[in-house]
Amino acid sequence: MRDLRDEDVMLNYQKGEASAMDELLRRYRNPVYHFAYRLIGNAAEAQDIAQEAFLRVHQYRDAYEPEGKFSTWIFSITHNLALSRLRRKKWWAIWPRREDDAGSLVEFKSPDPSPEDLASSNEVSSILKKCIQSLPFLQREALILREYQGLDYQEISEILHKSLGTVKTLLHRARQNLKGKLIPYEKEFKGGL
Amino acid sequence: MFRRHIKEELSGYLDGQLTQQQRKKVEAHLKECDACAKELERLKMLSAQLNMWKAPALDESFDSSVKAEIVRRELERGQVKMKKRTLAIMIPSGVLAGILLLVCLNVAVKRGMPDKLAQVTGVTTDEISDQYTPGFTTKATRHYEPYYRQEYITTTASTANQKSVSSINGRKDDKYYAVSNEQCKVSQDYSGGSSRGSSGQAFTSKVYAPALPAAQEKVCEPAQGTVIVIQPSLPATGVGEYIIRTGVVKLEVEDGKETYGAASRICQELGGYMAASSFYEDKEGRQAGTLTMRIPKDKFTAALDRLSALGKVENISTGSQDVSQEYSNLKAKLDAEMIVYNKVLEALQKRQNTIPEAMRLESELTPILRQVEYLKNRIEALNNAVSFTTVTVNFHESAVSVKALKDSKHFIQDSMVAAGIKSVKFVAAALPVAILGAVLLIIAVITVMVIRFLFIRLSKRE
Repeated sequence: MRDLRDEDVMLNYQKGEASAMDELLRRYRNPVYHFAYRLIGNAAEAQDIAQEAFLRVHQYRDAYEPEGKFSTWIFSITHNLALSRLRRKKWWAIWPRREDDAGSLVEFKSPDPSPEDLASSNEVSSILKKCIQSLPFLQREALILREYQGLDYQEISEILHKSLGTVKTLLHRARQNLKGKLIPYEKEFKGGL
Repeated sequence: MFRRHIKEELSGYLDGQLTQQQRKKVEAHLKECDACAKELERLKMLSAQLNMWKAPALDESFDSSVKAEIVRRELERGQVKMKKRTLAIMIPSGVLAGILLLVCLNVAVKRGMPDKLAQVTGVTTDEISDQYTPGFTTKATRHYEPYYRQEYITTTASTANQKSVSSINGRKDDKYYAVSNEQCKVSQDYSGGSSRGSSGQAFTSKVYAPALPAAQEKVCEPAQGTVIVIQPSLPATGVGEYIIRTGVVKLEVEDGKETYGAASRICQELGGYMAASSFYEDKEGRQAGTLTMRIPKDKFTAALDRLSALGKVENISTGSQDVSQEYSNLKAKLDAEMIVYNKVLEALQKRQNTIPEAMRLESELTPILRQVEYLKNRIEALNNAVSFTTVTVNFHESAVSVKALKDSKHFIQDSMVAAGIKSVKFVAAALPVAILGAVLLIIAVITVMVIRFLFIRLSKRE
């Protein structure tokens, strides 16, 4: 199973081989989770999205066509899930929930640092997170897919449903924007920007 | 010298996503342009720095939770989907049906339809609904045809039995009582002189007989909750058995005269003959009559079949009486009388008899002869009763005339149309009010939302 291409593993799962899901999880659990995390910026939500993405893979396994790359398919699913979640959050932001009310809950800080805190303990890491999170969604997504997931422009264009030219422009603008956002923190980066 | 900067191409160059030709152009440009070369260096640096953003590690239980969720959803899909679908159809359907029902009832009550109907037809709505009960129309009587082919053994045709019949039926007791009594009378008429009321075994069948053995019962679906038919099976009737069969059919018909003619024709066609008949009209001009016909025993069932199709069957019953024992007794008595008769006759014919002796013998012979004749007649009557069954048809025209019913039908249709028009008018009139109400409601909701939002923001600031 380990020697097989992603597409073949997925085909095996399509045929009903349950162990194929283990292999898919082994190969894609971290990429999908990291992609979702960098898009959303919240570990718990990213985990939810990653779980839902694998559930969608299971649910729509019969719809998968081996002509396309599996990585593109699963990232595309994750993209859709993240997008819908962000839209929902945007809508709910107009109507604050009771638990978000100031003073309604006493803030309780756990003595143990959360994984998120650990990851962001590095100042540079938190600066990068903050700046990347502030990029427009498509620019952020294109940048993450390129820089962190290492996908080529063609794959990114398939995931975002945009043309190659648009992807190129998105990446260029994302880098320019990010560079501009990072200038105030230049001192924090040892090698410089 | 270069003409312009190529900063937009640098991203593609850095990512190795340019074609060979584009790459050569960029490389050529970079050799000549310091600004673009510096930009490329910055981009490379930025790309390297981006790797410093580390994502937190994923929970170890992630894989197992995904697999557990897959299993849970599979189960849910199998079990709940059906329920959801059913509910999705049933709930709106139920609500819609309820609304329609309420609207119809409301309209009917408002229009005072029951009173008007009563005025038009001269009967109450309950009675009209009885007339329209499916299963009681002329055509629908076919559904009930098989139920007269039932007989079961009882020792007596008891009145108590008939009373319980009426109560099971759930309709007017007196009506069925009358039928039952009549039926009892018919049965008894044929049970005959000396054996009347004391005949050893009587076969009697009732349409609504309550105390049947469970194995023999078949309960038909009640039509509109008015008729419960219990069907016992026919007892075996061996060849040579002497059984008198009777049947009574009570019909409600549309045209009495036509029914009379049709019943007579049926009797003729089946090779029977009319034993008695009566035909009359009541004060309200409704025709009614009773036909007693003798039908060959092999055509008994066919006769009941055809007669019950002439109108709405109100009641149908069959009876049978085994007269084999009586027949044997009569035969034995006749044989004994014949022996005595022959002996007396033989003695009378002897020459040595004196005149007084001969007169005495002759006087003895006369009552024996009468008894023999009587027995012969009885046997002949039994033979006749056995070979020809007796079928009685009671018919009367319905209490509500067809015309009145048709009128009431038209009235109902007109009322429904009027109600429909009225409800459309009502909806048309209520629509602006409803729209206004909806707009006000939306405004109210938005206002509440804005106030709440502002309140929360304000409390957050504080």
